[in-house]
Amino acid sequence: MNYINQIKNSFHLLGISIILLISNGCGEDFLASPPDGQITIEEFMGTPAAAQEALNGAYRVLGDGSSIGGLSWLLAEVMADNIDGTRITNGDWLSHYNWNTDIFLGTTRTLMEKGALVYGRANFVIDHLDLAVGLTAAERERITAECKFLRAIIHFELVRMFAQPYGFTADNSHPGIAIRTSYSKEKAPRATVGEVFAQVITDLEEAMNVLPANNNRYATSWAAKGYLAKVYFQMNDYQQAFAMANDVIENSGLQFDPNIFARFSEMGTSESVFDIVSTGQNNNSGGALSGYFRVGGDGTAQTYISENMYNNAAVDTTRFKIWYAPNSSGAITLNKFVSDNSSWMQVPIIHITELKLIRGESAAEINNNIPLALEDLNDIRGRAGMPNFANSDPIQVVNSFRLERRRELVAEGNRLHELKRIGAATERGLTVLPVTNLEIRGVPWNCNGMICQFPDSELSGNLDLEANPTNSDPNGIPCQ
Amino acid sequence: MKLPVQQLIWCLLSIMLCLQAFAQGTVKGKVIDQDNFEVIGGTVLIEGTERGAATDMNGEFTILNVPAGTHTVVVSYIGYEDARKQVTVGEGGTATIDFKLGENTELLNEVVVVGYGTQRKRDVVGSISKVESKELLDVVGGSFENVLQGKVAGAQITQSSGIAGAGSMVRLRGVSTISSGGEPLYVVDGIPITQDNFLTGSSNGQNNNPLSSLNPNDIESVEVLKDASAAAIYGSRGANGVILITTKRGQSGAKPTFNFSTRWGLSQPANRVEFLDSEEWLQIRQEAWENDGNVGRAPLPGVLADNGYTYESIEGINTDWIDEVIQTGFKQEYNLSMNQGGKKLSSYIGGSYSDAQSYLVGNSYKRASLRGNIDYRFSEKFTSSISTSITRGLNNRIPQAWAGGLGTAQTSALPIYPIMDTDSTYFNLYGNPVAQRELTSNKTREWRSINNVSLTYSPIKRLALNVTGSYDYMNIGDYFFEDAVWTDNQNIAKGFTSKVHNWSTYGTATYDVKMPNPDHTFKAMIGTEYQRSFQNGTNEEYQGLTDHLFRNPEQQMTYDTLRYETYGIVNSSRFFSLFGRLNYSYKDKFLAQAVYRSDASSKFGPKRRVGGFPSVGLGYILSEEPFLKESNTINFLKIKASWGKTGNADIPSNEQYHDRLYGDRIGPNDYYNNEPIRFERKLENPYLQWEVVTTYDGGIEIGLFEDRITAAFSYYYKKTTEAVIQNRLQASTGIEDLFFWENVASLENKGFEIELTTRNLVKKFKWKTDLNLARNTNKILSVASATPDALAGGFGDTRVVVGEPIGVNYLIPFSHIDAETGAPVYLDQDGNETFIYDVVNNRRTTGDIFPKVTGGITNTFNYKNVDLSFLWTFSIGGTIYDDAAKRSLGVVTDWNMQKGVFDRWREPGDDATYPKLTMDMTNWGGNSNFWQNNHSLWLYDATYARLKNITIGYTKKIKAENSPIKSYRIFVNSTNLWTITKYPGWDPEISRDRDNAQERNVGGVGVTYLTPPQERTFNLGVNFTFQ
Repeated sequence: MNYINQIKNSFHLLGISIILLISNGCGEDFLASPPDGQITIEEFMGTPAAAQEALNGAYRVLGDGSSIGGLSWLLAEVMADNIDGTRITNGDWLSHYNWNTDIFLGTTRTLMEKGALVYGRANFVIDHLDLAVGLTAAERERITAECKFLRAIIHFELVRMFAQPYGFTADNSHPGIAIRTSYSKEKAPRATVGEVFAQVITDLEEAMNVLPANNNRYATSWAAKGYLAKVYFQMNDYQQAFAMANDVIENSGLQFDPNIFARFSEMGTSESVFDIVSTGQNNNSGGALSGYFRVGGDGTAQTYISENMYNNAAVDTTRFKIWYAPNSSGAITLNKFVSDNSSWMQVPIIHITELKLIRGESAAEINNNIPLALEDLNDIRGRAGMPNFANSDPIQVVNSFRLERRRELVAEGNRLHELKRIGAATERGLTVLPVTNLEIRGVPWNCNGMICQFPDSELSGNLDLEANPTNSDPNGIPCQ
Repeated sequence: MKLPVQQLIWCLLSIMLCLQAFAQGTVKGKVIDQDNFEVIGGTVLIEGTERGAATDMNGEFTILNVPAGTHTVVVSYIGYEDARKQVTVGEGGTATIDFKLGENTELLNEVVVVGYGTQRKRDVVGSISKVESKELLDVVGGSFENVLQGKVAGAQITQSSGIAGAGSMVRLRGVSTISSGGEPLYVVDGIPITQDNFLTGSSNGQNNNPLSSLNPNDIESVEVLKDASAAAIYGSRGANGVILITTKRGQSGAKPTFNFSTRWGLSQPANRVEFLDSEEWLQIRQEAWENDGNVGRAPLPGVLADNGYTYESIEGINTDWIDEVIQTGFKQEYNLSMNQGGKKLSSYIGGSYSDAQSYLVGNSYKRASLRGNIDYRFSEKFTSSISTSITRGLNNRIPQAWAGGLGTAQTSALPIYPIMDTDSTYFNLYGNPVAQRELTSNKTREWRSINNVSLTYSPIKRLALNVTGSYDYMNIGDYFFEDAVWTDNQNIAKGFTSKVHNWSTYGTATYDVKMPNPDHTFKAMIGTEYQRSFQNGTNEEYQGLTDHLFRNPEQQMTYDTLRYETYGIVNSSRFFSLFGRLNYSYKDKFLAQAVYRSDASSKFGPKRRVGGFPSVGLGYILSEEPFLKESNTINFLKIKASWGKTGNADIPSNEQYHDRLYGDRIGPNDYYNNEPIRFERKLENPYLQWEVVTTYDGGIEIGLFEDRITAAFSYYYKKTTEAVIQNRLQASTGIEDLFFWENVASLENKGFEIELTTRNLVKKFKWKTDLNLARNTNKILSVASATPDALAGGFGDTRVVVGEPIGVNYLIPFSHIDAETGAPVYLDQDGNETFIYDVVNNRRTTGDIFPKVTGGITNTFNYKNVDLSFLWTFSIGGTIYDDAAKRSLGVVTDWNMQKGVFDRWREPGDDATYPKLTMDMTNWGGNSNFWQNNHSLWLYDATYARLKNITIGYTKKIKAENSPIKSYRIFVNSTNLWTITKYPGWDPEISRDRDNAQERNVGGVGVTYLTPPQERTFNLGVNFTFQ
């Protein structure tokens, strides 16, 4: 055997030495055969321009309509009560409508993968920013803060879709989603919902403090504050929500847009605090949204509005008439998106209208400055063609805000989270207008199926990851 | 009266020769076979000398200058036993000696091709199976590997379908990898060739099979290297076994001999499943509608209602869509070859044309091929050979197997749908398989050329130096043509062409060491090899043409270009290798072999560039020992054992690299806010390397009663370490490519193989039986932290689970149908009965797709000129999961259903196979998505036996000198005539053609989704040999 080993070793040595010889001779490792166009990380991230391009890469995924301003909005509507479920033909959407999503759904897969891609690219930028030679400290801070803004809004969106809401448990120790603050393939467990919200706030606060007030349509300090208002409101933290919303409305210089139809249009709206930018037909961030709701020449659409929503909306003279139209078969179509008949549109994901809804309702909840609340409410009502609301009883004001919020933000992915917020606020005694035993289309607001199952693409990567209970799991609250 | 004259002549001749020769004489004679036919090209040697000759076309030979004395003359000829006779040659005399050769029944004396050389089969210490050329010719226009089925112990060969030109999934001794390619290495005349069916991606069940471009008529033999001792010479590419293909060459001493053969055949599906007709379908649908609590008539499927059809207007429509898409296919094949051998030049030239239709309307594979193998001997020391082949294949494809064609015919094309609408346009255009076939066309055109040049130089005796260079070129074009009616615009023609280039060069030095003591013999070989391959191609799309792109290439640029892009080098790889082999034998009874190969390859990450692959084999021929030498029972007995490591380098070339997109690599609309973007799509893994398979192999070969019975038994244990898995990253990482390839898994295969040949009758009526069977057990030892869903077999829910065999059916266990309600009852994770279909918690292993035992048995009978043979193949154990049954036997949807659905629950107390009909999956405990209906009700036993081939033939040799025809043969045969199985679907022999290697390993067999069945053929063939 020694002899054989010797032969073995000598062959191996010979082999390696010849290969070394040849590879040295050729300068490069002659066996390396990398695909065309691949460059080192130093080349890839080596300049300030490259860093900015990589940041743009993160925004770009936000623009494909697979999460905020697209699919997540649709699903949050479908799972609540604004959509006519009898007319849904898409099997995946039906699973959402019936609150029995499972781990193999394409929709939940897209939602999580594409969402994560936004912050994955953002984290990549943060992790490799040191390589950008010549990047000023200020630019580095700005880019990092934009990345954190994107990371925060996606974590916020995903935790709302895949976990029970803030307030579901008293200490928010119920499972949320994995928190990702670096670009890494490492496995991560689900953090608690409380931890996820804390991370979201930390990131948004840094963005708020670092970002400029104007940033060429990229995220600004106002965008971070606006989103913070949204996050605090979701947490039923009215003090903070009020403060943030108020700051933006009063100090950003952005104007409440008297034209309600400008919000989703090619030209965009003056009240947009942050929008997902579209620059043309071939780069239309609103493509997904208009695809879900747009009405074809034959009067058909992929999604129709429920009768409940329709009746609720039928109170005004301007908004209702333009947005809603029953077609020949009685289905109710929504004309909210691309209402200027352009083929593409801007997608504002935080705007003064929503901030007014937050500020006013928060004010009423904490009984602080009811006149300001009424001013906000009546701005919105007036624009819709409704009479002013004059009752200053905070409960009545809150009630009116909730109605107006549903009407105004229809199809903007608000409804499901709003109902859950009220459910949680009631449960935790955090509202002047509690709704006990709140139900969504007849089932409890906090039942198992009211959150999406984790997709297999998340579960497959981590054997220890806890899946959400199935719709009918008796250990939770079955949706029935 | 004749004798004196002859004697006189002989005397005179002798005297003349006496005068010329110096103590030398001549040996001459004639060699015939047992049927008294001349043996042409036989080798005649004076033992112990270098004197010899080849027999001529009359079977005669003359050896001049034979030293006077007594000699042993040995005659050898392929397929016949060596014959020996003693002869005494006087000085200047001529001795005449005739031979009659007996057919070689001692198979162990065969020569087998091993990597970079040949060995006598008796000296082989590894596990090698050999299949001769004549066994490869049964199929008309087919691919040779399909014919190996049932003939090689331990080779699980599953033909993918009955689609024309379809290939097979070949697994030798089980599946030894999870995410890497599991196919063996194919080597043609020493060149590892391109054989990947998925070079151009997946074409949905009917990918181009590169092996079909090899004309089986050109093949001399196929050797299958199964263990490490045999395969280690191929190092990092030997772990899945190696299939060596040797093409025919000119036989020395043969005058030009021509062979013409032609075959004609008919094709049908091997089986047909019955589907509902209109009345039955409406009945089933109505029942489901009412079961779901509805009243009145069930609404017609939307496509009918949308087109204005009513229950009244569809009355009388009963379209049998399966009849519309199947036919009796016709096959034809013509081969002409020439074989010639002179002193300097010998050659084989073969041409072939075949046109084989399948039973699917519009589907055929045409192949035209030409091969020339030329050997030239410059001198005793210096020889050369050139081999070249060119093949053109044209595959007329059907619309995708399941999106159109037979798949649509049994699913979404309902019997209540008409083919044509009332206005003579196609009804339901995109769901109408007839419309799709008529309005779209898909052809794959392939050019393939395999070439090599080899030079051999022997500077001194027993040393041979060889240099071989080769080039394997493949050009595959997938062409699509869509009619204006189909595109609802203009005609569109698309072409996707890929060129695969594969160069290799190797050099070897072989030395037979002459030892002072002749009991010891050594043979050493060392070599080096370099191989480079890559692929490039073009994607184009035009509108306004009238035909396929390749039919008018010069005009295409004048049309409206929708797309024209060339892509650079992909799938690029380089191998650089050093290897050696040392063989030792002692007294011809103790055998030892050591092999070592070192491979460096671009396929391996920069941190893992070079791998070493050793093997050692030992053999002991006991029958050479005195105590067995005289045995009347045992005439041959060998035991052997081997150990070795081989590698699997069939990992994608690019998985070690990151993928970063920027600049030109970004799509034209990929920007944000009018600013450019860049991003990383994928992580790198510089440690990605080959898989290591360590194999132990032990075997016995035995010959009894003068080889009336020969048998070989071998046992093996293979352990794969550093197994590559396509691991999954959590989606929440935010990394775009969630697959991460790493060497973290391990698995094992163990089993045994038996090959047995018995010559039951050997007189005038001959009867021979060949049996082979193999049992393999696979077990996954570790997959690091990967979840079953991370290592999925694609559609059909097969998974990799630690502790289980690879490819288990990972389903919700179905228990029974509740007799009271008709609802399906499942089992939960604790084995308790439940009505809830809980895919998150209750899925588990419910079966294993790979069979326990596979094999084949051939019985061959000969009587005078007539021969008859039957080949049965069998597969015992394993499962079939019918992934379409959830809709064709399950939930009632807008799909047609199998007639078997009538065996459904209808009222309390019913003992039915299928649950109460419903149109809503939630009634079966699941969610509303009818695709999520995967449970073990759709799981079947895959055991089958199949009469793979039956052939009856008549062979006649013609002795008449003046007849140009020397022999002919007429035969008829049938393939897949009869199948015995309990599986109620189309065909128990299933392999799904998937482009993902992991899906092929984990779910490649035993999972069907509308896979077309194998074909049953009836063939007639004629061969002529003439000079």
